[in-house]
Amino acid sequence: MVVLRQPDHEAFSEFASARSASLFRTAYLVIGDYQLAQDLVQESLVKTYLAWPRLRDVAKAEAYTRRVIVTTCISWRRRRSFSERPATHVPDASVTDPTTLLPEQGELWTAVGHLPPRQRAAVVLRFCEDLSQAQTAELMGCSVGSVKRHTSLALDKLRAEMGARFSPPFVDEQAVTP
Amino acid sequence: MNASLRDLRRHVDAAPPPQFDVEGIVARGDARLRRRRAALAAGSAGLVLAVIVAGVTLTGSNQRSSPPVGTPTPSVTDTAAPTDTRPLTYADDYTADPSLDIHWRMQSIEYGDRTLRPGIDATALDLTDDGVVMVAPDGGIHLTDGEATEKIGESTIPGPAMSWAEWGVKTSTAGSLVAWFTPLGPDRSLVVYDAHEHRVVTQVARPDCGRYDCQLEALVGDRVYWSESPDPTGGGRPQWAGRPLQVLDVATETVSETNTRALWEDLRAYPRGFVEGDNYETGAAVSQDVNTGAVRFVPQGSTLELQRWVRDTGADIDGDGEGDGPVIFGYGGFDTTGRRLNLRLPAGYSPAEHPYALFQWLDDDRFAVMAGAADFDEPGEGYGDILVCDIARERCTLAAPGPGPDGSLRLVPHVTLPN
Repeated sequence: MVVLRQPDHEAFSEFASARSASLFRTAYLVIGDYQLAQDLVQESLVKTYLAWPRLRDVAKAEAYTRRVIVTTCISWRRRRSFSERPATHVPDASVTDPTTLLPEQGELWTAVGHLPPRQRAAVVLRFCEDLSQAQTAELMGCSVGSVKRHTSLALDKLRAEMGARFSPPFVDEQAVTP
Repeated sequence: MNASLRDLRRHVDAAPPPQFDVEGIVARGDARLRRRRAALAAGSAGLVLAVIVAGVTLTGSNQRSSPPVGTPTPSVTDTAAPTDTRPLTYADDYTADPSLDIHWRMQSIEYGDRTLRPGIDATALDLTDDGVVMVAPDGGIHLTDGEATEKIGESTIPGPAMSWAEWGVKTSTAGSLVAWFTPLGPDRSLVVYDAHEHRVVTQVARPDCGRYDCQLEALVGDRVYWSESPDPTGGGRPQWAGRPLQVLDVATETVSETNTRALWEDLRAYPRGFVEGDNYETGAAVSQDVNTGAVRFVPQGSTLELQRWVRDTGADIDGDGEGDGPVIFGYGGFDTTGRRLNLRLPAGYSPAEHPYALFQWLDDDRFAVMAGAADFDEPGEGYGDILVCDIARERCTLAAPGPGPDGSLRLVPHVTLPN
């Protein structure tokens, strides 16, 4: 008999309020769109809320949510609807993306946006979030070897697209190991 | 000025994070909990009904493809060499172009004992009994029988890292039909083409696709299933198991509403599919044609076993992988005729570390799987090996050794393209 237990509203709300900004940064890095990053965080927090009763260690809730963000993002980007939206479902132009107010987003941001979802996730988690290969693998739900391969392919594509204007990660960054 | 990846972190840190409506998130969570409780309550009753209905409604008929289970079908014997209705198909010869959304372009296609050079940039493969179907980067759908290549229609332009199953083109595991949605627009239609007769056999103008878009779910025999695409943001997305479907019966050219349970029953009515688990009556029917992920096999000792995901809580996993509880693997199953799978690996064969994904049926008894095709994970020993498994003979043979652990990839019909 499967019993669905009720989550602890207060503890979850406290967690969500405290960590949503940090979670949003991860979401924005992996999906690259301000509005979709908001949706991604909300969806991931809903999933965390459902899993709350069985999260044995609430301190790990953030890591759990971050993993949901990454895997959900990859799932969304693999769907046909992500790259082909009907004309009746265009984003609300009145909603301003605050990042557009910042100085030039840069060619690199655009180039990262061209990467396939797993490669993008690997490279931003490794070199923007400064996670180790093992931590990145944990979030992506894959092996360390897979992270290495996706990272290598991503860096190759960034070099190919940007040439000398791209500064690859320092060797010590790449050498980070668990 | 050069740009480094650390700059992106600073860029994002400088952006003010949005305010989140935590109470709204909790409300959405509570609503999903209520739906799950309702589904759990209805589950056992529905299962009983499904078994009863399956017993009386296995009425699929199709003159173009394999007959439903229950009709005698040819079966290979040890004294007669099997004849492929669909030759083993894969592509090793491709080019990679990172400037394209679709990075892989097939130059030639291995098709049984022939090598096809269709003369177009194919980005994906599928099969009919009458040739290979290919989708070009511009969304053009092409058919080749090895002698000639013809363009048979246009569909959605493939996007990056999309699986074949997610695209707007479907074939069945047997027969000659190909179904697709024409590109987005006011006159979008569902087209069904017969590759044997080389003509469109029926069309549905402006099909009902709900709020977002049409998504082909399966072509089973001569019935085409589709649904409303999921909400691209994921909000309010129905679980796969509860998704309402539309179905076109090609023989009668009628469209009706149906659901995923009817689709599962339909899958059971044809021989080229599997039933997961230890109980043939209650197990889930799976096919590589349905948008619920790859059908996976894994080596277990000297045999190859059908693998499924289950929750350690005992709850089912829906097609989108949502749900509570850690995921564990279960093994074993049947073909849709009820034969328990017992597939010995080749003697002396060192199996790959990767799961083997089903990608085509050669006939009613034999199917092909490829190591690594489920997720195009990192290459390793045995990566890309193609095994052909014979259910009647209870064994698998190594049909095409993989291109090796050097990073080369092998492309096969149906499965997700590497990214």
